[in-house]
Order: sequence, then structure tokens, then C-alpha cells
Amino acid sequence: MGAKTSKLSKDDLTTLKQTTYFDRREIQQWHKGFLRDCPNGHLTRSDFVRIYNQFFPFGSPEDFANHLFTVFDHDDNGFIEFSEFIKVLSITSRGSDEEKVEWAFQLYDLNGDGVVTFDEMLTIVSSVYKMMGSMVKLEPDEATPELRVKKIFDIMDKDRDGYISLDDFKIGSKEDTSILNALNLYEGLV
Amino acid sequence: MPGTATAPVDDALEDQPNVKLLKYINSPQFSLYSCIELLCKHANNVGIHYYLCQKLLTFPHSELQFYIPQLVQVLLTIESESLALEDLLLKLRGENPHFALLTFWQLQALLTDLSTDPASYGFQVARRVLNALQQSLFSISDEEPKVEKMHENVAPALVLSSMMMSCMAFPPLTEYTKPLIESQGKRQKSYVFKLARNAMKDLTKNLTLKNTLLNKALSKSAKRKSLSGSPSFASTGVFTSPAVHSVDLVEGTKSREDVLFRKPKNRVSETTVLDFNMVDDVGNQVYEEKISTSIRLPKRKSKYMDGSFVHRTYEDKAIGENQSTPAALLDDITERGATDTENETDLAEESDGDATERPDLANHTQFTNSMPDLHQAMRVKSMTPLKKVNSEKPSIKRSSTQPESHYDQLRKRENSKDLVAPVDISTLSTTKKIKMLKANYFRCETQFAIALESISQRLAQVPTEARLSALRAELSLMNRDLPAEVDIPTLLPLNKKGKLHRLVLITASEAQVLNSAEKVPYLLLIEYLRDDFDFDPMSETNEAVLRKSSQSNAPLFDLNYLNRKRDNNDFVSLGSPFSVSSGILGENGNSAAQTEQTIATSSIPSSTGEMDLGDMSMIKIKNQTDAEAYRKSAVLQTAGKVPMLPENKTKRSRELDFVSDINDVVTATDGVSRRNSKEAADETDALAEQMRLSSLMLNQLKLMPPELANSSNEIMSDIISSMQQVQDKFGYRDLEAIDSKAGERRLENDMMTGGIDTSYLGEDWQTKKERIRRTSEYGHLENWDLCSVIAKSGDDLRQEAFACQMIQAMAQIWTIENTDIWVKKMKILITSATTGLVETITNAMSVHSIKKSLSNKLLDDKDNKEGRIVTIQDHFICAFGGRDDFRFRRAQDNFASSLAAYSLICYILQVKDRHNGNIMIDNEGHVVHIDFGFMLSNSPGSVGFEAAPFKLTQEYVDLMDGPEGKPYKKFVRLMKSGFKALRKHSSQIVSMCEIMQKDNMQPCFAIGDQTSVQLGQRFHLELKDEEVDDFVENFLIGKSLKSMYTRLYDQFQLITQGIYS
Repeated sequence: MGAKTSKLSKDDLTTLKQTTYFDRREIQQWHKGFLRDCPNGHLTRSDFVRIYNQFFPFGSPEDFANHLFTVFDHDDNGFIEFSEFIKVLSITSRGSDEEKVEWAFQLYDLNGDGVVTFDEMLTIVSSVYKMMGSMVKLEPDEATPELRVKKIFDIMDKDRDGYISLDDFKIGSKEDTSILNALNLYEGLV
Repeated sequence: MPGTATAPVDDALEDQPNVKLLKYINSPQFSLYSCIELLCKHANNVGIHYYLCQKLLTFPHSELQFYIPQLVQVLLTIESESLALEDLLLKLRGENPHFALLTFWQLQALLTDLSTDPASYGFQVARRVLNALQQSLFSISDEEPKVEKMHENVAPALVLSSMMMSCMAFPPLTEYTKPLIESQGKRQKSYVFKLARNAMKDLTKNLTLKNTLLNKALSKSAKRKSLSGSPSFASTGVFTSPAVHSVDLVEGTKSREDVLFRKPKNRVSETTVLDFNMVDDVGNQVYEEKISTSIRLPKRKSKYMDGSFVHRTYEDKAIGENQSTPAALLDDITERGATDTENETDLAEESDGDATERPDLANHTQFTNSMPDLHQAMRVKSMTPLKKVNSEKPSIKRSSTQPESHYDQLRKRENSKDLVAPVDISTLSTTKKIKMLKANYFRCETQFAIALESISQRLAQVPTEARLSALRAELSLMNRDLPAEVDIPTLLPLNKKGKLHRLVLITASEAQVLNSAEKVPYLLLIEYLRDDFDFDPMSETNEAVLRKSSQSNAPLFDLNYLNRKRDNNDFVSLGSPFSVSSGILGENGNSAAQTEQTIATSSIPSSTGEMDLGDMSMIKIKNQTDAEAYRKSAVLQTAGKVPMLPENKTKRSRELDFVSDINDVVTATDGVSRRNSKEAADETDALAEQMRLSSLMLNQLKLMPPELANSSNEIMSDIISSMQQVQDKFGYRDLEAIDSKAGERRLENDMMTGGIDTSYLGEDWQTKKERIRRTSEYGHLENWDLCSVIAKSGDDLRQEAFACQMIQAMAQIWTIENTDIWVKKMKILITSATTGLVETITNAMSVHSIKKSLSNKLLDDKDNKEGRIVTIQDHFICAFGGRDDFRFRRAQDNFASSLAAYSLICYILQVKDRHNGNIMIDNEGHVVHIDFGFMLSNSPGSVGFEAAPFKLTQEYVDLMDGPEGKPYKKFVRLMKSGFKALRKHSSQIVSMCEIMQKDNMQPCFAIGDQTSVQLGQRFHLELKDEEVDDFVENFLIGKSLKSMYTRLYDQFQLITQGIYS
């Protein structure tokens, strides 16, 4: 897709209309907004880091931003183009819980083998903890990333095989009310 | 840490500063002010900015309120991606009504400054916030604010997405991030901003250009149509007739925005004069015009064309008002067009030379010229010739003022109005009720401010001798709407939680016009009840308020009430005021007869006699909303100084105008006989109207051509003396003799503001208060209180307000540091760029006045045969019972501790122009400085007087028993400890200035960024604490003491202004 063109081509627009929950006008609006915020027509890894530093100034969001970037960068070319951005936004803002969870799974499955190991989970949880710094009060049973990961595995790894499969992940997320609430917290915002 | 962190651990260390910052923010010593400072410093980080704003909310409202000027300044001058501060201000508005009002006024004032550059960041933000503020302040709509959808902003959208994905890792984070995402999501697409800095430069350019344009425009009547875009026309609204033409221009270029912006205005259109929407208009006017300007900007070449749109808008609206008779109107316009051409020649023949030279005349004719359209249109509408009505129904029953309580009167007034279909209060939701109560408060408050200002403007049109009468008349009119849900934010004592003070009555008979060269500030004593109302929707009084506001859209403090009423009632009320007026005139030297004579002399046919009162120009507000006049006035004042050609053709020459007025008066004499049948209840209104009429006539007489000077002078003096007589009917006291000398003014002003209780210094404030309380109908109430304020208009009070704020900040520092220094915390309320209310310093008089009246007294007592110049010490001896009296020693002590304060203040802030007219002494011996027109980087004139750090005369030292005296030593000691205390907190003082100086047009910031740099240097932080004593003693005090400059300056003042040294 022509990243640097200022106008969305008809084909792109049609494709996006079919693959996202946005209508034509919304896509065009978001495209305009995207180009305003990223005049180059794409976001880079360092853009991600910059944005996360803006939102989490009292922590170290670099790790998290990097992991996230990998998930967003579907074609692995080092740039997040508008279509990649809008697709993720569509799922995370208007998708069903199931879709959201399914999509989120990619973040945790670092090597893409379909299961999340303890270490993979720990990597992500650690990056999240680092990102928020001391801004959110932690319960004693999840005071460290390790404790939190243990808790997650207690909930999700039902068969205790040390891995969380996509199914485990989906079921676990639905069972945990705090996760479920969080998934619906931004309902209607976008 | 196990795991596969991709980023090096060093990153965490890099963030160390922010961790430190967080610690600092959450430390106990983190002050509100540091918070504001950090807001500037971290404006580039959305997260930090947001966090700081959240932190701000943890401080008490009273403290936040103190820093509103800074908060607003930061909002407008520090560009930021963050919307947190904006959100914060809007949030606080909901929590605290005073905060809302103060922010509203502050923003409105700043918007006026910024309006020269509508593309600037500051203007855009100001407009947006003001818009939002206004919506919530005045709207009573039921709807809960919907959750606003996120605008197309990548950053918050991205974070939102990631929060969905990371919530398995740690769900609470999602919630934590939500407010920030929502806040940032609201960000609107930004336009290309120019820096607000341009605004400052442009303004200076603009003012010159404006004048030039004005002159140019005036000399090109033929091109008027095209020129109607110039700001002078537009913003003064003087040239109404060109605007009539420009209506089609507007129609032609009508854009979507036009429709949008015009929309709320349509509500105005029921009456020709102002109505409920006055407030909205005032709020709207400043920026609405700018919005349309900025939106059209691409199409328009020059920003100097600014205001024209408003003008057209208003004009357009005016036309719209008469849509019921479009044909008649059309005729009218055509007719006018024709008449215009005719009159152009007439005018030239009859009165060219004079008119060109007299700007006020020019204004005058333009105004009169602007009146007829609507009037004719209205006449067509009502199909009733004015004169006929005038004589047919002279004795209309009107709501009474005197005998009944004000509550009754209010009710009556409502009943007499065309009522909007009544709303059943009980069906309203509690939220809605609260909203309505708040909206009612804001409406009362803003209208009150506008009314005070419009009085000032009217007074400026009245000859000096008649101003007091006119003022009191106007104030009596305002009292019709009191008590109301009005207070005076910041100037009145602190409120109990959730309660507000209620103004109940302006003591009109105590009001004073303060003598001043041009502008007409005036002193008001206002009775109020402490903590008398709230927004509790359940209370009985508030139910009444709700019923009232749901039934009536009546404007409050509507000083055009009489005019409007007349219009609404087919001019019925015209007869009575006229009759009284002419009656008085008749008693006083046959004015009527003289008038006839005058008519004969000027040999002008009196065929124009049908012109009605509304044509007269003293009260120009006819046919405009007050809001328009309000906006106009500022420009008028500048415009008035520019010679103007009244080249838009008037229908009548000035003489004709005058004659027609007189004709009206003559006609009105018919009413005299009917006067008896008239209900006496109308007296106040009638008298007030009569005052106005008289003032108006005076004003027009001033414009008489020289050959009529003799007769017009006679008439003038007659009118003035009759006004003074009428004044007695209000229970007024004598008019002061007016002396043009500044010194005389000072003394009189001091006497009026309430002097010190001694034989020669006027009435003590407490005594006065008790006296008023005894006669007040509210005096028996336990929470009764009285306040004294000065209403100013035409001057930008923001520098004064800033000075007062700095002084308060220093006072606070001295309190924290436990120094024994005394400062008066004077307060000023800003209500727009050119208006405000100033707290009166009661029980104090200027040194000048004290000396003058003391020496007068001594002369009278023959104690001072040798004509010795009196000193402050003489005053202290007189007032405090002699050297041995303990009161004298206490006064000395007070003098020393306050002198230390003001010496430091004057040095730190470089307050100049310190002649004795600006230094007051109160009834306890304290010194109080006033008038901060010259400080920081500006000083009066180019003459380098006042080179001393502060004013310390031999006289002061003598009063403190000389250099070895105990009071003097105390003074020196306090200077040292006071200076050290300030040094300790100098960063706050410097940064308060730093924030304010950015893009600020106040003269005290003339040198821009250097202002705060130099301010900082005066603290001499390079000195060690032990060196400071020496510095204070030898440099500050020593240099001041020896300075001849101060004395020179006093002499200079004595010579040039007549101010006593």
C-alpha cells in the first residue's frame, strides 16, 4: 500500500471496509488523523517508544513498546502502515471479547509457536510492570512480575502442563472478571 | 531478572530523572506553585502533564483560585499536546462557581488580546475553552454530557489497543490508563498554529493601523461599502448604514459556519433591545466574531478586517428581527438609501466644518443615524404613530419601586411581562434544577458586571457636573433587580462551604463618581448578606428562583428597561418621564421658552419632531444589545480621539437633532397636567429616566455650533441645576464642586472612599457602615454586611491585578517565614480586558490628602499662620493623640512594619510613580501603596526620577524617631528579615512573573523575557546570608535614604499635578 500517498485508494478503502468494523467515512477520518500524526505515513519502532514514553513517563515502557510493535508489524517490514494500524484498532476497540483475546494472544506468544510459556509470559508481564513503574498500586500476591505470572498460570494453565494454549488463554480470560472488565472498559470510545 | 528483555537494563536508569520527579511531586513540600511551574516545564510530555494536573486537583480550591491568572496563562501560552489542563479547568468550573466565573472572565480578557491573531495557538485554545465553559455555565439543558468519542488521534488509539492486549498481563493497568486515553482522545484536529507571540506585535501595529484606517475610511464615503470590513467600523458599530448594505454581502458568502454561528443568535430576535441572551452575547461576541473571522480567514486577505463580521452579523440580526414586515423593511432601506444621498448635500451645507472637528459629534450623528431604521420599521409594524401614542397614553401604570419590597417588585415585573409558558418546577430533575440555579447565578453575575460597565460608559457621555446625579439614577435602576443571586468573587470575604453571599442593595445615595480625567470610575457601597444562597434545589428560596427563571427570560440589571418597556408597550411609558422632565425645566428658568427661541434662532424647520427618544444618542444602547455596546465602547474610546468626518449622511444635522429632542420635550409638556393622575409609585423610574434625558440633552447641547453658544450654555446650566434638584428627590446630597486639578481629585476621592475618623478626615468606615445599616431595610438581618468597591471601565486592570497578586504572594511568604511585616492584601476582580472591580481601601487616605486637609484645617484654626508645610508626623500627632499616647506609639510601630513591607515590594517589583497621591495611610498608621501602573519594566515618562530602590524620605525617618529610634530600628530589622524571607522563596516570585510575561501585552512586561531575569537579579542570590544584612542596610536603605530623586519626584509632581509632597 502506498504509505506516503495522502489519499486512500479506492481499493484499499474497500478492502479495509471489508476487513474492519469501520465504515467508509470512519476509515477516511482515521486515515486523515493518521497522516496528521505520522506525516511519513507510517509508525516506526522509535515512534512507538516515543508514544509510550508520553503515556507512561514514570516507568520504562521501551520493552513493552518493542514487543507490541512486533505484533502490530504484521508484514515484519519495520513500519506500521495505516492498514496495519486500523486493523488492530478495529479488533481491539470494536471486536468481540473472543476476537480481542485471540489477538492479544500474539503479544504473549513471542516465538509464535501457538503456546505461551512461563518465560514468555514473564517477559511480557515484566515489561508491563516496568512500563507502569510505581504508578499502580500492587496487591501483595502480585507484587512482582513472577508472582503475577504464577497467578496467571494458576488461572489459565488448567492442565498444569506449563503452557498456555490459545484455548486456555480464551477460557482463562473469560473466567477472570478483572480481565473481562478491562476488555470492555473502553466500550464505545472509538 | 530472568526473561528475555529486549531492551538493555540501562533504560531504566535513563528514566531516573522522572522517578525523581515523581518523588518530588509526591513529597510533602511540593507546593501548588511548583506544580504550575512544572506544568510549563513538562508541557511536552502528555503523561507528566496529566499527572501534574491530577495533582493540582489535590490542592484546595481557594489556592487554585489564586493562581487562575497563571493557570490560564499557561493554558494559552505553553503549547502542548496535552489536554489535561483544559480538562482540569473545565472540571473545576463544575466544582466551584467562583472558579468558573473567574476563569471565564480571565479567558475573555485574554481572548480580546489574542483576537488580533485568530490563527494563533493561544486564540484557538482560548476560544475552545471559553466555548466549553460558556456552554456549561449558561446552558440548562437536561442532557448529561455524552461520552465523547475519541477523535482520530493515533497515540491514544494505539495505547488503547495495547491496553486490550496487555490486560491479561495486568488488568488494573487498563483502568489506570483510561482517563489519560480519554483526555488525549478528545484532541481535535489541529490547525496550523502561528505562535501567539505574533499577537503582541500585531496589536501595536493594529492600533496604529486601526486609527489610520479609521481616518482613511472616513474620508472615503463613496467607498464605504467596501470599507465596511475595516475593524473600526465593525467593532465600533458606529456605521450602521453601511452595514445595512453589507447584509447582502453576508448572505452572499454564507457558509455552513455562518449558519452555525448565527443559530444561537436567532433567539435574540424577539425584541429589538437586549433580552435574555445578552449574557450569551457578551460571552459569544468576542470570540464569535473571531471564529467567523478565523474560519473565513483563508478567504480574507487581511486580519485587519476582523470585526466586520460581527457587525454584519448584528446588523443582519437586526433585520431578521423585523422579518414580520420584510416588505416594509425593504422599503425602509430603499428609502433610507435615497435619503442618505439627499442628506449628504444637506449635511455638507449645514454643518460641515464643525462636524469634522468634533469626534464626539461624529459618533453622535452616526448613532442617531443608526437608530431610525429599526424605529421606522417598528412603527410600520405597530402601525401606531409615535406621537399619538405618546399623548394618548401618558399615564401608564408601571411596576412600583419605592413603597414595595424588591421582591414584590420583581414579581410584579414578571407578571407584567409576556410570560413564557410556565414550567412546572416539580417535574424537573434535581440535576436539572441545580443546573438551572447555577445558570441563573452565572447569568446574574455576568449581567451585573455588564451593567456596572455600561453605567460607566454612560457616565462618560455626561458632563462632569451631572455625573453624580446620573450615576445614582442608574444605580437606582439596578436596584430593581436586587436582591439577586449575585456576589462579587474574590472581593468579598471567604464563603462558608457551599454558600455564596448575596448582594441585596446598592446604596445609591452613597455612590460616588470618582474624579478622574477621562474614564469614569465610581465608588459603590453594596449591601450584602453573608452566605445567603446556595444551589440546593430543595430549599424554598431556590424553588422560587427556579420558578422565576423558568418563567421569565427577563434580563437582569437591564438599564434599558425603560426604553424596552416603552417599545414593548407601544411607547406607552413615554409620557411620564417627559412630563416630569419638562416640568422641572419649566420651573428652572423657562427652558422650554428658551428652547423655542433657539429653534427660531437656528431657523430650522421642526418637522423632524417625530423622532423619538430612542433616537437620542446619550443612551446609545437602543437597538443594540448591551453586548454590542459593550464591545463597542472600548474601541469608541480610542476612536473618539480621532477626528472623524460624519460622512455617512445623517438625516438631520446636529441642530435638527437637538431641535427634535426639544420638540419632544415641548410636546411632552402636555403630560404635565396628567402628572397628577399618574401613580406616584413610578417615581424612581421616572426620575431615573428624566436624569437620563437631561444628561442626554446636555450632551447634545455641547454639540451646538458656536453661534448658539450663549443660549446653549444657559440651557445647559439650567438643566444641570434641575438635575441637581432632581438628585435631591433621590435623597442625594450636594454635588461636589469639581476641580480639574489632580490633587483636588485625589482629596475628594479619598473623602469619598471613606476617610479616617478624625475631625478633618471624613467618616470612618465602621461609622458609615453602622449608619447605612440603621437605615437599610435589610440592616436587621444578622448576616448583613457592606462592601465598598470601585467599578472601573476603560482601563485594563490586569497589571494592577498582577501586582496585587504578587504582593499577596509576598505577604504569604512573610507569613510562612514568621516575619512581623504588615501588608494590605488588596484585591481586584477582572471582568474583561477593560473592566473590573477594585476593592476600596477603607479607613485610609492618601498622604497627599491627609496633608492637604490637615493644612487646611490648621489654616482654618489659625494654628498655622506661618504656612508651615505639614508632615505625616503632624498627622500622627493629631490623629493618634500626641507623642506620649500609646496609640501614637502603636501607629508608629504599624508604620514601621508596613513601610518595611512596601519598601521591599517597591524595590523587588520596581514600583514607580510613588508620589504621595499613591501612598495611603490607614487609621492605624499603616502605609498602603496603591496604583501599580508603573512597575517591573515600565516607569513613568522618560525622566529617570525615582532611581532610589524605594521611597524613604527624611520625613519617614523622623516619624520613626530618627535613625536611633526604636521604630526605625524595627523597620531596618524587618527589612532584613523580610528580604531574607523573600530570597528564600524568590524562585516562586520570579516564576510567577515568568509565566505571566510570556506573550503578555501589559506594559510592565515591556522588556519581555528580561522582566523576570531582572526581577531575579534584584534578589541578589549571589550574596551569602550574612552579606544580606549589609546589603539591605547599606545598599537598599542607605541609597534610598540619601536619594534626592525621590524628593525631586515629589516636587515634580507638586509642580505638574498639584500633589502635595
